[in-house]
Amino acid sequence: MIVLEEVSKRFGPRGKEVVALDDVTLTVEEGAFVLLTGPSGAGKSTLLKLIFAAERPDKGRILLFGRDISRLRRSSIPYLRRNVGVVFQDFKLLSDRSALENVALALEIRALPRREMRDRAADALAAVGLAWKLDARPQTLSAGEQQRVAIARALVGEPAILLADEPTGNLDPDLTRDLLVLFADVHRRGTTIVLATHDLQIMLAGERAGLARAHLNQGRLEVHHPPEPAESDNVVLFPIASRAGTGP
Amino acid sequence: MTRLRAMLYGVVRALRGAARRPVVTVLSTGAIGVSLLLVGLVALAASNVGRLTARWDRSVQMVIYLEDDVTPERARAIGDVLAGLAAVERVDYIPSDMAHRRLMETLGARRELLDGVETGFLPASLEVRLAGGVREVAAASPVIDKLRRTPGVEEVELLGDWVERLAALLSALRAAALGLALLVGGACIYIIAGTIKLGMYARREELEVLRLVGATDGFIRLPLVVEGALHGSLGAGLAVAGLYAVYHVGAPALERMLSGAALGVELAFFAPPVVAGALAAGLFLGVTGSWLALGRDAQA
Repeated sequence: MIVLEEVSKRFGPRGKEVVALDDVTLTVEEGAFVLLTGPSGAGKSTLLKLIFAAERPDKGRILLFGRDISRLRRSSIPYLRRNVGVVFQDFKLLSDRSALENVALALEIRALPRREMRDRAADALAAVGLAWKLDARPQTLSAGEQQRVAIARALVGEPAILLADEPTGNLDPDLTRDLLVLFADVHRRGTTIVLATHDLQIMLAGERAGLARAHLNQGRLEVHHPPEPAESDNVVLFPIASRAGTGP
Repeated sequence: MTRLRAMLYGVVRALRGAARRPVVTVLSTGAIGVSLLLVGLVALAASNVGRLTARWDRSVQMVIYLEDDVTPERARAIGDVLAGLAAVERVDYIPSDMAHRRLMETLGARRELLDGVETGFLPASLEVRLAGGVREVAAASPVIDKLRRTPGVEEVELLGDWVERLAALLSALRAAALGLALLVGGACIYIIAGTIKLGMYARREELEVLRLVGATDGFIRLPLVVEGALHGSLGAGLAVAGLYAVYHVGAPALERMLSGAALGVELAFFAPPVVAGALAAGLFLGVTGSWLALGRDAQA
């Protein structure tokens, strides 16, 4: 589903270039849950940006759904992004809109009827456990709740892929655990997930669950554990008992 | 249907955007309104001077004032000779009492100025309308000199000079209006582009999120273009309203003043198609300003 072939990306002026990614080759199968790990500055965010076409590679190919997105025309990029949900560490929620309106934004671009937008956005918020906070402004929500709204916005368009860039960076350990349970739920419903993190808690949890892991260091892919088919089909990050305590 | 709904959402987002920044919206439309009002004033002056010269151009172009002792028969005889010339379109004999009556009509409310003046104080005259395009030729023609030497003729006055001067004034006004329109048009585009840039800066988070969730360039641009168009047309609307107010208040006073100078003038406001054109021009300026502001900024 996601294939990177010998992808390189550099930033900065000629002669003073900084290598963000160096000859990275990586395959993420459909339905996989991959942890993209590595220290800050290792190139994790750059790799995600390349996947949702916010950046173009200097070298190599990136295939998404079998199409080389590095050759994509500018006008086609929005349609690609509708199939790729993205979640960021800083949530990127609009403070002058309610949780519902933030989520509905992802549907407004498709010009859906207003009622359908509202219903689907409300359903998406309910799915992340925020059914009772539809009209709340982001600043009145906790960091964990804000990230849930961001996840609802990323998922409301039912994308095949969810990219998460340090989604727990602003969350405490309890909220991190809750969020991972949510990601596991999303993955169970069939969404391919690439989660970039340098959070040890997530790495350990991923290890326990047998998740695929790609480790980046100074732009180079050092370790790539392909998922075992049996595990990737049924990833359980936390026991059900733990998840029961994460509700509203 | 989807496209229509997308456009509707774009318009709604534009209105929301303008409403979120009322001060910027008011300042921008106000500046555009005042700028266009200046252009409108010059254009309105040019339009009325144009009407005036067109009227005079179509009326009498030469007046032959007759001496007091010339009989009507003699006057008509001179007129008949003139009417026979190819360059002359029409000759009218205006006796002294008719000239007096006309002056009274022209003075209107100020006719008391003539109280105590004898009816026959104005000389009888022959008013001559020349054929089109012969006014300059007539001025240089020896016929004029001959007329001046004709017994019974006191003075020959060519009104061409006045018309020429007014035509020159009209040309200058038109050139000024055009120059001002170009200058002000550029300024308006600059104002709108600046306003839209400010709007984009204020909404940079929203634009970033829209790009992330897959909004097309068109979806991102539409509200900004609509907002620019809104500013442009509101500004033009303000200018038209302001201009009409100025005209409504100032025109009667100006008409009185001009009639006092023996120039019977009826001023007129722009015709509805011209007003519609001005509003369309505002819209055009708004859209152009938005497009310039957007450039490639709104693209992914």
